Amino acid sequence: MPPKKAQTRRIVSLDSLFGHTLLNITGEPVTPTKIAIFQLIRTLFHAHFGVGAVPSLKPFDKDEKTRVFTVLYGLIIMKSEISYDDFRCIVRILNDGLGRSIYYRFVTSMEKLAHGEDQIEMLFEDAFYTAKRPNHEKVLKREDSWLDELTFMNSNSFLYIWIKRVMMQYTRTSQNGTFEIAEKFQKWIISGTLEIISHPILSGINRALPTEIDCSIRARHWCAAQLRLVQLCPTKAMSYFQILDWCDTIHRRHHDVVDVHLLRAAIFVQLKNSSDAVKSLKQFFDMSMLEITENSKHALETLKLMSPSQVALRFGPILQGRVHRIFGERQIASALFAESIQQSQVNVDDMCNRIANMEVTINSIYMSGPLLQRLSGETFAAGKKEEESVENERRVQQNSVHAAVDLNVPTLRSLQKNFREDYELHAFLVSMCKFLLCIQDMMDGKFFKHNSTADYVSVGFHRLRLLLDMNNKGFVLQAFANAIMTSGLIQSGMYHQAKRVAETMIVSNCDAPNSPILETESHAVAGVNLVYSLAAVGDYEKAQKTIDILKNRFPENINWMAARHVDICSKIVNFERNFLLNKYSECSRHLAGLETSAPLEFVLRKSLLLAATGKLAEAVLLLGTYECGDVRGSMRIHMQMATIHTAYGQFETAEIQIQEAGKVAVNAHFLDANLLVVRRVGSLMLGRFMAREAYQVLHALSAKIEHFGSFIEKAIYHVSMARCLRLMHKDPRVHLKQCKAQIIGNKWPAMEKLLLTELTILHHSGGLYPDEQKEMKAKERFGKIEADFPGPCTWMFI
Amino acid sequence: MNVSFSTPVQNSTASRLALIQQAAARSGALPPAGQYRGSKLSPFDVSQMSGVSISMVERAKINGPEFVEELEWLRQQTTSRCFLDAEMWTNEILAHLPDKWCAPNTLNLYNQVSELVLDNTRSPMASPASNSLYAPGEDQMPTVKRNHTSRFAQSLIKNKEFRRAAFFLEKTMNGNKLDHFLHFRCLFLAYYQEHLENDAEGIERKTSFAEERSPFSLLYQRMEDKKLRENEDVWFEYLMGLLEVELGLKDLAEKSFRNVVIREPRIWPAWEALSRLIADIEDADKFVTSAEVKSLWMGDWFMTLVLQRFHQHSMAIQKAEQLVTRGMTGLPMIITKIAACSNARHDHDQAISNFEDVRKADPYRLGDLHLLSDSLYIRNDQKKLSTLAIEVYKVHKFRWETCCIVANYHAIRRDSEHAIKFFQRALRLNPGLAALWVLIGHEFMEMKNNAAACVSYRRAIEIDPADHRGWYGLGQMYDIMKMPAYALFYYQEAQKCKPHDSRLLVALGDIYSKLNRIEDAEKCFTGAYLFGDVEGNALWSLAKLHERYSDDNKAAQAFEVFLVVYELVTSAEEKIIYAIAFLANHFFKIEDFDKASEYATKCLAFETLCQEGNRLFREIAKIQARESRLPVEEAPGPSNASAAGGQEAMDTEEAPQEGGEEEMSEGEDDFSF
Repeated sequence: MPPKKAQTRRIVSLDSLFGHTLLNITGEPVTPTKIAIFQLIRTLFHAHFGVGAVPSLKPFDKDEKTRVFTVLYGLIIMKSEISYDDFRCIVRILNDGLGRSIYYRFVTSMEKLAHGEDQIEMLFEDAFYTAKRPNHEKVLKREDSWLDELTFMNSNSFLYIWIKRVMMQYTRTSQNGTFEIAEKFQKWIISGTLEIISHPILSGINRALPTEIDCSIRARHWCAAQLRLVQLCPTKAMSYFQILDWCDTIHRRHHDVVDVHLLRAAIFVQLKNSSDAVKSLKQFFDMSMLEITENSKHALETLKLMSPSQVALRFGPILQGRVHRIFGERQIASALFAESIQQSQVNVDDMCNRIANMEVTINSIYMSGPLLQRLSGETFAAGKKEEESVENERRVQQNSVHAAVDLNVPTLRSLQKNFREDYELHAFLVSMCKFLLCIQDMMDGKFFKHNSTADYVSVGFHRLRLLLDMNNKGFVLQAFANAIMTSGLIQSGMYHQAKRVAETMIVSNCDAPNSPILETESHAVAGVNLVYSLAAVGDYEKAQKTIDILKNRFPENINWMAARHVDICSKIVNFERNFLLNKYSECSRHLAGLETSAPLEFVLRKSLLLAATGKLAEAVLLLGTYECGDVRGSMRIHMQMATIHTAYGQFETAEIQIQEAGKVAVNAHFLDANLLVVRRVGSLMLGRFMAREAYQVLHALSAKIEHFGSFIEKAIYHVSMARCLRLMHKDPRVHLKQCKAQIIGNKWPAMEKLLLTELTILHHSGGLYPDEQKEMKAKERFGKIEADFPGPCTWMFI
Repeated sequence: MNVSFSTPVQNSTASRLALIQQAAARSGALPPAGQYRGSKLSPFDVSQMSGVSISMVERAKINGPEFVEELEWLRQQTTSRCFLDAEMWTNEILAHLPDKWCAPNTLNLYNQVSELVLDNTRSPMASPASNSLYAPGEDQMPTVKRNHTSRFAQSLIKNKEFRRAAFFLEKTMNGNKLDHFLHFRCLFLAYYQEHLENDAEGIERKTSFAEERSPFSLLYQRMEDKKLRENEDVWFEYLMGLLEVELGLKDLAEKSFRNVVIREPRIWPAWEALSRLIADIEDADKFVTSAEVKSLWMGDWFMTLVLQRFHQHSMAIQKAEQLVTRGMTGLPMIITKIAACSNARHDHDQAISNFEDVRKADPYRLGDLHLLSDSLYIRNDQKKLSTLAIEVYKVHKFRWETCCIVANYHAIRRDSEHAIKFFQRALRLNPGLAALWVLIGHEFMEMKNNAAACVSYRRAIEIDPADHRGWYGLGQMYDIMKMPAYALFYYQEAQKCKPHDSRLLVALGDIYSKLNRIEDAEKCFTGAYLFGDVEGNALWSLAKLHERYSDDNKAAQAFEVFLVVYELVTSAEEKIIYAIAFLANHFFKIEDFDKASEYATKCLAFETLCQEGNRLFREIAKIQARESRLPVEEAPGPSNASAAGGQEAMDTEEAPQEGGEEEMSEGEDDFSF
């Protein structure tokens, strides 16, 4: 049947206008080694198949073919050039195994080329492509039936495609270029050394580039790999400036590789350069508005390859919005997401619709801030202001998220629309949606209530685990979930549990051939939470070690998004540690810089420091003027005020504050809320010398303090209990012992002094258990501590 | 009155009107017919608008003989040194010389000079200085033969056989100063030609060729080694500047050209090259006015080119017109430039009439004619455009200007495919022109092929990132797709390229108002009005913006100014009617009855508003009658009746919501631009 005649309609040919797509692709750069490989293939092919009309009498059998292709594949995947001498060695080895004068023929053909008797020909005879021929009658019939028809190479094989790519590049080389190639090749053969080919072919499109990016395919691959590393494991990626450099080269050399702009955008985000990031993103999406058509039938009929694509319209706003979100421009981001939703609905793209909706949710969740202190102060305030305007829109779109969660099975429509939207992505989205719902529930303070939240998550995870996790998407999501879980646990005072989750997560994050160690923000958060939980149980040594490890793993200049968590954490923990040691000047040093990165923590700690140094009014003012949008935050502020007032003996004001805190705590879902507030009520009563009442209040907490108290809370609780009991003339020694257990190792000298005071009173001649020796011992110890850590021993009721 | 102009303005009603008129003049809404728009602006105004200040000193009339002498020198130099472009440029000016400068005494001078020229080129020994060039024993070739050889070389150059010319010149260069220069000049041309030829093999990947060590750099090195920059022949330095441009050493090139101009201000090619390199306008101005540079008129022309390059079209026109007033009348070069600048500032009538003048004097001159077709396209003058297309197509089929004109011709007939085809052809002939890609983008937009349009605009930006039209096109495209937030970036970029273009500001303002960023929108509209509102939308948009956000007082202010500016413009009638109706009702509502009746009177002039005007008169009369009946009563405040009346009045309008306190009264309006 004659081939169907190509129909060309009278339309503008995008191919010719924007540069034929094929013209823009760079194939394998032609180098002497590659020409030699071509010669070798030709020699081998002749040996197997015969020359021209004369069939070979001795085709390769299966083993021989395996040997041939092992060598050929070895040659083509080699990254560097080799010299002619080495090449001959390889052919000789091949010859030793196969015979058939392969070495002789190969060298003869090469020598002919070198002396200009033959021309470089990067083509094979037709038989090579048809690749089938009945066996010569003289060839011995073998038992294997596959030898009845000779074949040399499958047209789907990697080698075949590689050959095509080299051929394409050679055909496209300009006359100048082919002259140059010929010259270099001749020199390569004659000299037999590598020196002259260290810069194989210098000019034009054949100029030497790093192997990773010397042709379009590899450049694309390199971009994808770096993009993934930059996002998941920045320390493993190339240095950012080198990447930008290479990107520049690719942009100039491979006009068809538009991915490079995407990579550039990611790098600019890491370099905190939002404007250039947006610029690069726009370039990427604008350039990808035309793509190679997927409709091969249409392409064959019209001989046109380019077709317009609307994908950029849908996904462009999403990514731009993400960049704005990362840099805190929440309102712009939300407008962009809305546009993406609108576009995806116009174009009936379910998947995009879902992603955009999810981004809207993430935008609103992240920016309202209460869950974690991960926002800078400025954006937090700005977010508050804009809250209302977005609120409405958010609610509308929230519904869509819930709707998406219901779709447990990918709808037919969404998969038909674009077959590249694979199952994996869908499952990822569903899990993500569920997970977001979960976070929302946490934000609304209902995550311990019995509803389907937990089921959401478990179902989502389950689906993820069933998948082939190609790009670690599932793993990343899992890490994210776990990180949030650790935060949730810490917020509820379950320090040991948080520690265990974080440890598991960090331990299971290991290097595998296809996935690097993940260095995402989630991992930083988990690491930080590990530090917090270590600090909360009083293990400062380990906490400090962990911080050092984290600082190494998430360097500020490479991974700022993760590094800011570590920075905040290190400051907070060091503050606490030094504060307990009464080193106030050190403390204020740690506070510097915290004001913008974590305003709430800053206010709490600054006021504490002010109060401790006697500036009561300032401390109260600072606390009172801070606007807190977070439940736990406001509870902490009230509690802190109460504590400060108690310490200064202003019990009425303290009582008001503690009542306020109580009001918040009653409605909060945090498991330790009740404990925290009631313990302070107890302290307040004790401060008013109402020992009996205090005892009643505190006694009820005995179970909770074991479960949810940090070591500071525990120490204070026990010492308070001891004092209550002493005042009530009962035996306080159990509590004193437990208090001692918490503060072992000079962590909190002030508390230890208090403890020793209690002990002295207890063992004093007028006390409950007079014991002169023990009293002396306690006094001695007190004196020693006083010498090591001078300072008053007030400030016990934090 | 708070006006943030730096001009001190009297605080009176009269000055307010003056101010409005001044702004109107800037906005170009009221140019008397037939008058140059640009010439109405004082230099102060222009620099106020653009933020650039350059010296605009009025200089004396150009001395004819001096002028001719200068050009004669240049003509002789360029001819003998084979700078064909410059030679043509000079000859064109000389050919169009005003009659009074072609007086006999000039002719004498011409003869004198040309004799000298001939003398100089033919014999190497003409000037005593060149004696030193002869090294003893070098003179192996007989003088006659040498002269023949160098003449042969010159004709080779004219026939574009540069390598060959260089070969022959090598034999004679030691004996002749001029040949010495020509030898290097030939090599440069040869490399340049080869560079272009190589380029043609891979249009798509031009950049990659620039990476190797080019022959240009070898030549440059050779000239450096021979210390030719310091050679008494200033043209060597110019040639090195050209080499530096090719090698991408822009700073060095700029320095070289500056030096050349200082050493010899008559070398126009150096001026021209410098105009393409200089970094900013003020720098150029400083250079031109500095004492070192003594030029009769080339400095001013240079400034015109620089100003045009930086999109300061009004000032460019002024500079060009200064030259005309100083006596350079009837030169196609200047008139075309004025036309091109007028086209760029959307003064298309001016552009068309100027281009037509040029075409009368020189019908086959093709330079910049594509801009004429552009203006004709925008003015929708199909007849003239088709005549033009037919004429030029007959004469120069394969010039890019022709292709562009023909493409515009197809575009005006809504035949986008053909238009694109011709734009494409123009691009092949001149790939470095960003504007062509923009036009292709526009055609794709016509064809509703957004994707292709988008990529076209991108191409424009790639060629020239400072081209505002590419950015603007992209912004417009996304705007049309109803993606204002996504489009914002592009409009911002466009505005960065041309900060004082009112159209870009209005577009940006529209986007901001779509995104509810009212302050930003307000700033944009106000700015657009102050910078000279080309399309007359800024005030209207500003008023509507305030109206939409229920800020009636501000809306009223904007409408008032709008009326003052546009009252006589017939094309804006609908808007005028709306504005009058709004103002009449607004002032009635805030009980400024004098003004209300003033605007009610204006209502009567329009048929559609007649009834509304009458109704308002009645209401006002009612209230005034009641007030005069009860002169003793204390509160003349809004009675129920008037409020109800006001409410009714609003029915025809989008009713402003709040009652509106008495904030404004006549003469105290707060103009807070």
